[in-house]
Amino acid sequence: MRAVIFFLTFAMSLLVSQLTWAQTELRENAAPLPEPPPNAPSFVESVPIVPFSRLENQNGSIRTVFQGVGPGGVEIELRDVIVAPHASVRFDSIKGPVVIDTRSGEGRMTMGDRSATLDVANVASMAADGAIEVQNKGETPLVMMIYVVEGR
Amino acid sequence: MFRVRPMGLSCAAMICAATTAAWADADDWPDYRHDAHRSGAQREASALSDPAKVSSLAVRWQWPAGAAGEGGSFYASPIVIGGRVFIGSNSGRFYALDVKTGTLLWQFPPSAQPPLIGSCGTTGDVQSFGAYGVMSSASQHDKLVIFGAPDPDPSVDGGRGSGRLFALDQATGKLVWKSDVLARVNGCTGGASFEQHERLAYSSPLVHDGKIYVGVHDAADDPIQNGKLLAVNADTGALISKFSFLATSSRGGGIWNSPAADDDGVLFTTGNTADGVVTEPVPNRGLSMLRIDDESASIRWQFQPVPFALDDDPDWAAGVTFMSTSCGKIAASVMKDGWTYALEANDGECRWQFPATLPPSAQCRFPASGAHVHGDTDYKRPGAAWGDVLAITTGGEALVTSTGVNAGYGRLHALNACVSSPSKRVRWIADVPHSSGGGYSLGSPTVTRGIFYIGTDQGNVVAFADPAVTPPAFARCSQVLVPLANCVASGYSVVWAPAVLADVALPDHSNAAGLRNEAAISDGRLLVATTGGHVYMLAP
Repeated sequence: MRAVIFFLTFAMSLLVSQLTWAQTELRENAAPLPEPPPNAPSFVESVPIVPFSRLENQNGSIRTVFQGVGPGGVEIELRDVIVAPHASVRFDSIKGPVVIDTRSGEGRMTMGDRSATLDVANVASMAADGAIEVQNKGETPLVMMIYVVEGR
Repeated sequence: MFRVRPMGLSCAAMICAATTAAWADADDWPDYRHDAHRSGAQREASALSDPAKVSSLAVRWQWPAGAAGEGGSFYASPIVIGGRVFIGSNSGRFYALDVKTGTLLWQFPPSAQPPLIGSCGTTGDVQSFGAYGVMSSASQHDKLVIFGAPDPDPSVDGGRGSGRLFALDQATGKLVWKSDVLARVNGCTGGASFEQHERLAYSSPLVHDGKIYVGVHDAADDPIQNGKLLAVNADTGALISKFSFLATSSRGGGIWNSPAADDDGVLFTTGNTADGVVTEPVPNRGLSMLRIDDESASIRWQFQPVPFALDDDPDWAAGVTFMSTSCGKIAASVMKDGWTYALEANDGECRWQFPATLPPSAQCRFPASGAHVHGDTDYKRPGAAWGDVLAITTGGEALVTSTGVNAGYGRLHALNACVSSPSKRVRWIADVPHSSGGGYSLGSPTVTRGIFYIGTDQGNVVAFADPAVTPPAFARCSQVLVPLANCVASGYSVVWAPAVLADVALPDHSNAAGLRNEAAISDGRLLVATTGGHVYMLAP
């Protein structure tokens, strides 16, 4: 009889401890938060030195992080470009070769009838002399470093 | 040997949980990152989990009392067991303090005996081969407190500082055992590949299933040593020879972190292998997260996101945070290059990468031909787990831009571990005031019921509340270089900036002494320790 009482007491204490544990787990399973509403105050404590600006009327952002003059007077620019998922952006009148180092995501660059795949495994280049279209084919932003050499 | 492998909530697991609960004080912080899961989380309610009380957080005592400090720096984190605070210093001393008063209860070795400093290097030099003191945060086993340190005993490798585990009686500070030598220093010549320069510096021992596991790494890659995970008997310190994990057949793959464990094995991460090595070692267990069998050390799975061809020293230095979430068991960590990974804990399959740089088909593994540089940057703090939320210092979505490698150092990202869409990964981002801008800007976060605590290189302790606990203050873009106005159009998400509940400048703040470790949360008290050699207790 004493053994039965001991077993029942032990089983009850196990059950209680497991329920307590389960409730603790449940309480701490923080679900995703609701997205901030459009009128929420904007966080401004830290402003980047070179923030991105929106590509005009397009789903992407751009910033120029370096500008300089190279050999023979060519103008060299390094731009960071972001293209939203499944969006396309267009750069007009780039005169000179471009090199695109894809930093994140996947997509395609097109100029006229020429095109190249953009992914993190490859650096793409094109002897550009006109408008370039970049299309994001992924679920995440396509982030690129674009080296532009104008005037050659 | 008969072993029980619990499956789910088996009876064995329940008995284990019940017996452990009966022996341990739930309010304690008995291990580095609190527990064997390295959760960094205190689940017991206290004033530190009450947002209404946290705003009154203040220093209640400091040890030592004067401005001078202990004489060394605290790189190890404090643990709290049964009303005592335990912590070691790079001066080579280990201390027990009364948690309520800060009174020194004992120190090891006693003042009359030499500190745990070997002769290889300058005393307290964190990069030295054998003179680094106690940088290993302690762990609890029964009535013992256990940590790694160099042994100055001249009969061991000439007293150069070969590393052992030391087990002390919690009540008296008496040495109960010291382990066999686990990290050998048999010469002091910088760069000498014919010598061993192994250390037990950054790895905190893991107490698991009657054994104690600890990682071995090098000193400042001078040169890199072969990474090892070793185990000793928890009651005697005797090396368990049948358990031995070696990261390579030659050198590299150091274990700079504290192993974690669940019922089914041991999890840890490894450093790089390419430093000074031209040919990839076979096998190459470097730059990886691994799960190994806790009896045989056989590898259950290995995840290596950066191939040898791209190895520019992005050691995986942060340890694993084992998360029990609503979507299963996850092993999460940040690599030194700034990318964070969440893996299925059971099979090592990659659930997600943050930032989500690679297409799903790549399974979070960078192609060898990739142009990314995976370098010696400093994302090396483990994350804190709160339910489905991982709070961690990580590169963030700015990491992939041309100037983004520094963008995450002074920020704490809270990531939703269980959402499937990468665009919903970021929950909130907190900018934490700091000085250096480098990888030592912040310590490791800890959490209790949605309130996160973190120390800074300015000597401050900052408390943030998850927006589920306290209403957030602001909205911001998940990509910190993109203004809120063009956030969504660029493919990012508008997320929250959490409310700051407290920002306490410690007295060491004025000495430019910061915190590189974690704040232990125990029974309404926050225990922190600084590079200025002080231990502080804060409470609301």
